[in-house]
Amino acid sequence: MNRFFRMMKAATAALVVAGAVLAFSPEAMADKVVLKDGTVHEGTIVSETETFVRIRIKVGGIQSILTIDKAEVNKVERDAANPATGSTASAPAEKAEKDKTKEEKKAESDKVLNSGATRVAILNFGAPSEWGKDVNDMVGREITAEDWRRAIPLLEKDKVQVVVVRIHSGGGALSEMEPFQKLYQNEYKTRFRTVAWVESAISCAAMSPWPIEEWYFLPNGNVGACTGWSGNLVAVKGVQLEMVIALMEKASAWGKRSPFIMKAMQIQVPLSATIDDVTGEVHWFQDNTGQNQVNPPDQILTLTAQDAMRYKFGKGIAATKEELAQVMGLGEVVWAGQEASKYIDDQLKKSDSAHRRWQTVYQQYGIQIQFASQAQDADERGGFIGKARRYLEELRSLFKLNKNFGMFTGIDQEWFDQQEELIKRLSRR
Amino acid sequence: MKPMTRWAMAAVLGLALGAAAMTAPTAMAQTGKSDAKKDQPTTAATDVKPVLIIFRNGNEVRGELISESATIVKVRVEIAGMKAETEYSKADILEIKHLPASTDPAPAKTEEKKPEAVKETRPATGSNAQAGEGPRVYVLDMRGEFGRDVSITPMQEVYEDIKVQQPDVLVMRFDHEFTHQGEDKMDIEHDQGAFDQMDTARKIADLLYQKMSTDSSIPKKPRMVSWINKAMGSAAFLPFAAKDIYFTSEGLLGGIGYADTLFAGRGDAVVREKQISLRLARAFGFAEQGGHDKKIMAAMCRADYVLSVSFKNGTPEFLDRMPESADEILLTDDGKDDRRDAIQDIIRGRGNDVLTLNAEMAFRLGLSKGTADTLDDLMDRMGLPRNYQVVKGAATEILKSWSRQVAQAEENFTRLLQQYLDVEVRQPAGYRERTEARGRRKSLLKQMKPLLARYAESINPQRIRAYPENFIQRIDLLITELDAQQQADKDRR
Repeated sequence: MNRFFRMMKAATAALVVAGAVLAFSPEAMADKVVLKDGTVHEGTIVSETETFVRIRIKVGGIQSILTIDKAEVNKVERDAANPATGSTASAPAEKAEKDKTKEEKKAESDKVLNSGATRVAILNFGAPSEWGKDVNDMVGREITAEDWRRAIPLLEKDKVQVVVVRIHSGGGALSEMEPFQKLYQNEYKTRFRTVAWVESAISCAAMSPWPIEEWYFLPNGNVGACTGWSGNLVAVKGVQLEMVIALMEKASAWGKRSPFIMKAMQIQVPLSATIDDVTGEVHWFQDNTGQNQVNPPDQILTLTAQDAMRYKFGKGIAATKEELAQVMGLGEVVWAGQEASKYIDDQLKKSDSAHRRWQTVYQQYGIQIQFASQAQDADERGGFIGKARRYLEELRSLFKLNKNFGMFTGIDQEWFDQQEELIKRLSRR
Repeated sequence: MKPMTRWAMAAVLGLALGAAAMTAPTAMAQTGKSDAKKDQPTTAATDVKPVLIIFRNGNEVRGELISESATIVKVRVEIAGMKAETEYSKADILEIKHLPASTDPAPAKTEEKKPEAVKETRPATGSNAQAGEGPRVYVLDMRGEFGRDVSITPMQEVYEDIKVQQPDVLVMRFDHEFTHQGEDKMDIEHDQGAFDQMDTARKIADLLYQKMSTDSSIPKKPRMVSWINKAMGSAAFLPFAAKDIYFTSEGLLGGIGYADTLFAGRGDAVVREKQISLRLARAFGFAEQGGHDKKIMAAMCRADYVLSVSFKNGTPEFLDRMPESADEILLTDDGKDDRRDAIQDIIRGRGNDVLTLNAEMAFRLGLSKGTADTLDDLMDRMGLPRNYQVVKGAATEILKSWSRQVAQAEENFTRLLQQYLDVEVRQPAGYRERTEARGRRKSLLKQMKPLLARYAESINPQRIRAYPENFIQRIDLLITELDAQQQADKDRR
């Protein structure tokens, strides 16, 4: 409840600020803050210290003040012709900045932490397509609950209040789904306002963050297609299917939404909805009795951004983080948690490259074993066994990095033991 | 010539060709790239500097050099008796010849031909289009096979060129051949393989819309417009991403079809439906991004989707059912039983299992905002002033160059593969001959790999008799195998 009041207070404050700045002329908005990611915020710089810069910007016709960590900033460009930005006093101000003691800087840092601006972190659940390169995005392989758990202290250290889970993944291992659900429910939601922002959340990438209550979408976003399968398009069936459905019923309850929605994403069941004309409330039905057919009985549901909005599954559509902040009702925003964001991104890239290496080494190991088996004498065999050992060791260290690598090639600890035994046998021959 | 000597020569030749093939794209990438520093003029002429600009397409333009940066040349030319300033991308230019000032003090008439890609009724810099007047229009002409001739790598270069040009309007003209992996299709056909290229469309859409919307080096976002002459099969997704869609009078959009039968006969129905569902959601994403009704896309994609339309005061109202009154028009039925399109209907363009739109129906359905056969017409329909300027972007040359390189890479790869297969050790042969043969094979494999890595996204698997991605992975293993064979051979000596 406290958080609610805090948010209301912040929103009211932002509203007041927005109202106050409406009178400013567009000519005055000529300062630029260029971020390290290339984003440029144009407007009027309100204040600048060693640790942060505050700039009054206009997004979608609405003015607000952005507080930006200097850690994010590449450069600050002030309009020399604009005395309102404080550029006239820049030289003495810079000197004064340099003269500040550590304590003063710390105090300033605390000031921004306590400035009332909401501190928002965006963490990538899968590589956003804007990265422009193919980084694999499999849940349980490149995206792991353990990495997300390790990001929590980093988020807390930076006093992050809102965590945006930006999803772009085609799914992955069902086994990783429950750890993620518990993590979001018990660790993230209790610490942060946790929201999903979806580019594409397919299958396990939809099921893992399902306990999150607030979902936002990119304009071409989608969520669904949660049918479990393996091999040559063979569906998960029987007891295992029932277990997954039951698990998702619990996750639906945590996410405070009808379990019928997820069920229509998992198996071929109808889904319809009636939107109350007066209250706008959406009532869901696992049959065709609702006014709107959302999913025909023989199909699997994937909601698009517009569908999600229509049936109030989604809270808003945002193409950029600034738009997201707006649709989330945040006034003044600080994009925080860079260390956590970087950690998650680095893990994604590391796991991707490690898994590619895993595939190659696994096959190369096989070749050496094959040649060792065919070798005529001990010397010849010894050369191949030596290489096989090196590859096996590399596989082992990659396995330590991420045990789920083995899941996709049928490798577990027992496999390693068997291979050790095989190598020993070959050596003795 | 002994076989081994011939092999050795082929390997050397292959190496040379491989190196040539790898050099070309690097150079092209450099022409397309830009950064803030590059955009700063490096030459600012204060006096008259007559120049002759020779373009890569053979055109020549005489004029006065105003400024020159790493990516742009700005010159004053004379057209129809009037002087005008214009900019040319250096990517288009073969040579800039500086002429003696005395030989031609006045800017001469431009001899530039109209770009063949666009039916222009107005010169690039018209008599009433002095620099600074009228919106700057960049025409991105997309031809050939979508996914091959238009794919993400050359589009990233086009994007860099757009950054340099900073247009007010970006016209994406879709005039693709309806082909799949080089196989021509008739306009009445549908290409189920279209869904395989949807990822390419999505990557390009991410680049041109998502990235551009947040790219600070493009401060003024251009108005995006899809102008469709032919966008069939895999080319049909991307045009939807634009809010503004126009057709030519012969325009066609569709030819996708039959997503509902993807993976037929494989696995369980529920998993097939999942696969269909996620693909359709991605396809719908294009429509929703552009603010268009996804039902049109659904009717293009699924044969079992029923869609009718009625018009209330000209406004279309879509109905997910068969028509129930005379004023309702059937767009697509469920394609089942006797409603399945007969070959007679398909040939006569009367099939209604899946939707393909022509200019007239696209306009009636509200997808198209109008029909325009020339750029003048298009600007007019878009409500833009007639003094627009077509900026001299490098897109056409970038895309053409990419197509040439892909074709060359396929040819080189096929030749190298054949050479690889031809390497043999004729008996009786000793250790030295076997070693040489393995060395040659390794060398050929190493030449093949970069060709595949660079052009995998566009290479036609039919032409090289292999799937590029699979073959790349295979190459490393083949090399490891060759090394192991060599080791075994050495040990057995």
